[in-house]
This record gives sequence, C-alpha cells and structure tokens, in this order.
Amino acid sequence: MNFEFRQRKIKPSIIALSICIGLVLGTVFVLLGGYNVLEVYSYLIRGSLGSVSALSSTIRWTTAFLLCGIASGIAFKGGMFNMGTEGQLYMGAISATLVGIYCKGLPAIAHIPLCMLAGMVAGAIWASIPALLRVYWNTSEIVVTLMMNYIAINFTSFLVKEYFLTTGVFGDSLTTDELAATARFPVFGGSPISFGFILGTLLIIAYILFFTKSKRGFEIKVSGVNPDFAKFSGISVNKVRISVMLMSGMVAGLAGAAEIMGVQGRFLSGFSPDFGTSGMLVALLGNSSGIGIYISAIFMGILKAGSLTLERSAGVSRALAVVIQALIICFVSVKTLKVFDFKKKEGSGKE
Amino acid sequence: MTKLAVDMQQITVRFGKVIANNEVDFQAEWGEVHGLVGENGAGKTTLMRVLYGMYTHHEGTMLINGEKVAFSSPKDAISKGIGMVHQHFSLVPSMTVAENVVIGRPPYKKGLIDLKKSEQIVAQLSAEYGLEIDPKMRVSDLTVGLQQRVEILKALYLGAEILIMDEPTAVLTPQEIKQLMETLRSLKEKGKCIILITHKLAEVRMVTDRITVMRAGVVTARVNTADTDEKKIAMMMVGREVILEVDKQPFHPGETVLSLKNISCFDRMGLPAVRDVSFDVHRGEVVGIAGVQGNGQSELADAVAGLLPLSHGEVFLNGKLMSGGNVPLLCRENGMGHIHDDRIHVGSAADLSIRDNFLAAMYRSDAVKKGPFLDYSKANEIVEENVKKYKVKIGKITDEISSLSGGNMQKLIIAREMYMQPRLLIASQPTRGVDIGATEFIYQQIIHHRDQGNAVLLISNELSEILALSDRILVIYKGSIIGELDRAQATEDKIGLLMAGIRPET
Repeated sequence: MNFEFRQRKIKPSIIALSICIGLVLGTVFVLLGGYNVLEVYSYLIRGSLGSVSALSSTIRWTTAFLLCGIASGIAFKGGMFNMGTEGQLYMGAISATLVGIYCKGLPAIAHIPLCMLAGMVAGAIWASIPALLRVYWNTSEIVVTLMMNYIAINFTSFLVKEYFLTTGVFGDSLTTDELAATARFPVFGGSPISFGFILGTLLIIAYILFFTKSKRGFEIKVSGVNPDFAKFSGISVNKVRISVMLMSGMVAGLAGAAEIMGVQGRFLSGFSPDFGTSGMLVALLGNSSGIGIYISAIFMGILKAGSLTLERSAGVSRALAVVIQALIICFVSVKTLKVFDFKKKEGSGKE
Repeated sequence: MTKLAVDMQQITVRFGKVIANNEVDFQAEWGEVHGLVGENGAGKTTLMRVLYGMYTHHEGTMLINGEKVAFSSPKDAISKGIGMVHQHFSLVPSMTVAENVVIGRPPYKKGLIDLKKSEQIVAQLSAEYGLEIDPKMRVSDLTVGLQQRVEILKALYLGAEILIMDEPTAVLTPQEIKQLMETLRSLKEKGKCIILITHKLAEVRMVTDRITVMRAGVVTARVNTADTDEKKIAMMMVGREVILEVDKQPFHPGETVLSLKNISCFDRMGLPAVRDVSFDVHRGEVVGIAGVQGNGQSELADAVAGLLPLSHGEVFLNGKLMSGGNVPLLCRENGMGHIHDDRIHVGSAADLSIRDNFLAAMYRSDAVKKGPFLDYSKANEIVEENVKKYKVKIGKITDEISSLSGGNMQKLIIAREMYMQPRLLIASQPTRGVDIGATEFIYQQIIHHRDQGNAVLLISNELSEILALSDRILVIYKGSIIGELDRAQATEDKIGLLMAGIRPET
C-alpha cells in the first residue's frame, strides 16, 4: 500500500497562533544569545520593509518562495507529496542558463520566453519520472522525489564542472558564463517590483482561477481529497497524478529559470538556499490556497530579507530566520494546538 | 420485591455538544430477554457501553442487582457479572474454540495454559447451556453463527449473568438467527438477564419479553412485547407511522441493460472474491442479490462498476463491452448510477462540500458547462433544486458533507446518482445505517426508478429489503451465484438455505 498524502486543512487561527509562538520562541533564542531583542526586531523590520533596497530584497526572496510555493501547492492539491521541487528547480535553472548563454542573437522578446520554456520543460521532465513510477509501479513519490533532488544538484554541478565552466575563475567556484543580456529579465528602473514577482502574481491569479473555476481544477481537488471517491466518480486519478506532477515540475523549473534570469545571471553550482523546502513550507502554511500561498510567501520573504540585514548589521546569524520558520512549521503541524481551537467538534455520538 | 438485574437512572452521555443519552432510565429484570430498540443513532449502543464500563464520562447512577456501582473500565463490569457480545467479534482465528473461550482468565498448569482443562471447561459450559460446539475446532474453520456462539461462551465463562447482545443478527442467516433465538431463550430460563440491542422488529417480536424503545437519545416507550405489534414498535421508534411495503407496477421486463459474462475478480487483499458470475438485468426489473455479509457482494458491485479489475469475464452495459483505461467513467457515460455500500469512503468525500459532492458525478454534463470552466452558479441552482426534491435536510450547500446524518447523506447520494437518470442503478446496501424514515423514502425512489423502465441491481444483506423490492432474487455464496428465484416462489426459508450454501436437492 502506498502512502496517500492528503493535506489536512489548517485553520487560519492556528497558523496565526503558530507564527506568534514561533516568533516568541525565536525571541528566547535571541535573548539566550545575549542580544538586544528590540534591536534585533527593528533590524528585521528595517531590513525587509524599511527602504527601497530593503523592499527589493524582500521581493527578491518572495518571488522565489512564491514560485516554489505554487509548485508545491499544485502537487499537494492533487494528493501528490512532491518533495522534489528543489531538484526540478535545479534542472530548470541549468536548462534556462544554457539556452540563455548559447542561443545568441535572439531578441529579448523571444529569448526570455524561450529560456523560461526551457526551464519549464526540464522541470516537468524531471518531475515526470517519480510520477510515472508512482502510477505504474506504485513507488512512493515522496522517496523518489527526495532522492532525485540529490541527483539533480550533483548532476548540474557535474555538467558545469565538465562542460560549461566559465573561463577565468579560480578553481573553487563552479559557475557558467553569464547569460546573454537578451535572456535577462527586464528591470523596472528604481522600483523594487521585479519582473519575476509580476510573473508570480499572475501565476497566483491563474492558480486561483484554475482551482475554483475550471473542470480540471475540480478533478484535481476531488482526487486530492479522496482518490477512491474520484475513481468512483469516473475521474482518472492516475492521469490527475501525472498531470499535477508535470505542472508542479513546470512551475518549479520556472522558479529556477526566474532565479537565474532575474537574480543570479549565471548558473552557480549549488546556488539555491533550499528554495524547494521553503516552497513546501509556503504551501503548507497557505493551505495550498492561492491567497494563502501568496501571503505566506510574502511573510517568508520578509523574514528572509530581514534576517540577512540582521546578520550584516547586528551580527546575529541568519540561521535565526530558519529557526523561526522551523518553529512555526512545528507548531502548525502539532495537533495539540487544536486545544486552543474551541470550535472543533469532538467525536460525535455515533453508535 | 426481587432486585432488578439492571437499574440505570438518569443516565446522560455527552460527546461534545451532542447529547447521545439524555436522562435515560433503563431497567431490566432477571430471567428476561429485554429488547432495546431504536433507529441508528438513537443512543442504544451508547447506553449499553455505559453499562459495560466502556464510557465513563456519564452522569446518573447505576445499580446492578440492587448494588450501586461505578465502573472505570469493562474489567469492573465483567467482575459484576456483565458480558457483552459486540457486533464485531474479537476472536483469534488461528486458535481453537477452547483457547478463545478461556483467553480472558485461563487455567494454568506449571505456568502454562492447561489446554486439557480448558477443553473440559468449554465442553461443560456448552453442555450446561445447550450451546453445542467442538472445543478443539479452530475458530477460522467455524461459520459466523458458531463464532458468535464462541463469543457467548466467552462471556459466560467470565461469569456473565447479564448478557448484552449488540445487533447480533446482522451477520447471520435466517436459520442461524432462529438458533440464536433458541439460545437466548434457554439462557433466560437459567435466570440470566439478556439485553438485545436491535432495530429488526421481527426479532423483537420473536424473543423479547419487554421492550425499551429509544429515539434521539431518550426513552420513548417501555412496553410488554405481548401488548404490542411490529407496526406500533415502528411508530414508537420513528414517531410516526411507517409504510415499508411498496406498491409496484406489474413486472414487465424489457430489453437487457446489464449483462455479466463469467466475471471473476479478487478482493483488495488478493483473494478470490467473485467467482464466475453471469446474469442479466433487464429494463423495468429489480434484481436482488441476497447473501450473508462478506460473500463477495461489495466486490461484485465494484467489479460491475469498474472499480475492481476483472480477472476474468466481461461486463456489457446496453450491449457495449465495458473495458479500457477508465472503466468507471465509461460505465457512467453509458448510463450507470451507483449507490456505493461504503458511502463514507467511496461514495462521498468527507472534506468536500455538499455541492462539490453532488457535482462530482455530473460536472461533465453540459448543464454546468461554460467553456473550459464550470458554471458554478448553475451548479448551485441544480443542487439546491435536487436537495429540495429529495427532501435532504441540510444547512447550506457549501457545508461539508460530513455535517449530514447518515440518512440525509444517503438521500443526497441518491439524488446525485438519480440526476443523470441512469439506465442501470446499482444500489449496494442502500439503507445500511439509515433510519426507518429514510429507508421508506429510498424504497420508494428505487421502485419509482424501476417503474419508469430502468434496471436496478439491488445488493443487500437485509433479506426483508430484498423481498420487498426485488422482482428476481439471486443468492450469492462465497462469491458464486448458487441459486435464482422468482419473487413469487421466494420464501425466507428457501433463500436462507441458499444463503448458508445449501442447494435444494432436486
């Protein structure tokens, strides 16, 4: 029997409570480190929202979290626990990079979509492997996607080192050439709003429409909630499983492409600070709903940008943000928090 | 005055906001079979679980044989001479009858269980109470009826003077039911107090001395069985008159709708469940599949609907072979509706709204199509309309379906399956866990559907249901159809023998 992943609905009140507890416990760690709490939080806020450059930083991180969150959310909705968005992101990133470097002479209006397409296709192909294994051989997609992350990270490293290493770098940084200028995302003057963020916002709107209005979205929702009922209703659950994994991989690949084209400008081996896991957390915190994903991506973006400033300015390790994130997730998933949720029905008096 | 065996006063049990028992008084005497009747959800089992020490968070007092008691676990209840035979047996199949009976308090010899002694004890008990059984038999080799006997012996061995039987006849054939009733009578003559939880009125009439009727958590009547009849009991259970007999138009079967050709399939554990079954269902007829629970009925329904892969054979719907990638969809497209016997896990999705649950079977239809999108406002209209038409009691259609009671959920499912006006309706245990009021309604719907010239395949463990609705009756035993009867020749005895696997000698 395979593990059937069904996302438990988490109430907003529980999420809010978990965030508060996470922040409070985070404060305890700050105190234990002997830092001034007020100072720490003021850096956190200033570093994420306090200036145009702080906002830019927040939006830069939010974009990556948002795209990865959408990728995870699609898979979760369809009942597939895609733990492999990180690997799909790497495959997307390397493909977009190569198209960005070697398809020279195209105008930006063609080159940018082509790179994005390359990223999406690569992500989808990478995600199709665990999907097909699950559907035809009943192999757990969780294990396969997780393992394929390592393959993707190391395989892209290998590719860079053996074939695409840029010239003139010292031996320790495995990086490719810069992308052609036509493959870079356009920049909007001094505004912190980036092209990638607009892309993510548009995708969220599409995500919401897809799941609340379309026929396919309805099929995915039903299969994710109860595959037996879906089969009974004539929905091909296998098709749904493959299609959500393909879509999820596509968006994860796009996230990789956007990271390269919008931020990095070239492929650096091991460039991702675990965007994949952050995306999963975003989807979990947001209940896989469009609006939920959007809000939690922004929250995580603020936390990330703030913690980086904090490290630079106050010398508090950026790991603090990771600790706070981890604490929040722990509390979201702890069942006992339901104690505080007074509306919950107790076991009914069934015979 | 003799002491009462059981005297429960002002028992109130709450589960959160739900009151399962509200100030219930219940008395039973020594030397009687006391029927505790009521619909599903009326609070019968809850009350008895309080008596057996399984629920301890109740209010009110309990006296056993005049002595005030407070149980903190079933162990305490057993020590006061209370035994309970549950709906689902708790036997170890690989052990012998003797071992199973003494398992709660085995006789030891040099630190090991004394098997010889155990066998003697069981032989003695079975002789004393007239419960014939071979102590050396393995439980896995016993019929369900005999397994139940082992459960009764187990309770008696632990010194049960008050025996609670929770819906004991659900899994038995009519002949086994008669034997059980004999057993209960003989236990009564030995002076024991037997409490029979049931919703089957015929049994109540047959064996009980007095009845306590419960409805919605309160006691609505206490009567002597001799002073009442089934109609009156039904009225007390439901609160109004119930008509379970249905008027049918004369039987005029038309062309074949469903045709099964030698189908076999395995159950989910990989064991053979349906073996070489062939039959046809025609327009304008209800074909009933009778059988004791667990003889392959659910698998048969799933196999016909394409939910279980066939290992052999073919299914034809309206002359078309049902095979390919997505058989359930093909079946639905060719006019099949299916009331699944597992309405909680397969027939509905608990986490989805009432609207979405309804929509799942008809979201492909043009009525709710709007380009690539679903026309949700139209869907809402349709669902509202059908909820009204089928008298489903709901809050809002956006509430989760799990907020509905069993009967209402089943009505909603029937409304959904009927919406596409299926040529073939598979009704598998359509009234399981449903109150009598809803049962009456469901019977009418099924017959109405037949009268309109559609085919119905009815699968039910309730013989009375099969007899009330079917035009033709097939009996399934260990996955094979072992007999076919016209409604006119069918009697409970004839079907009962077939259900036990005994073919008439011809």
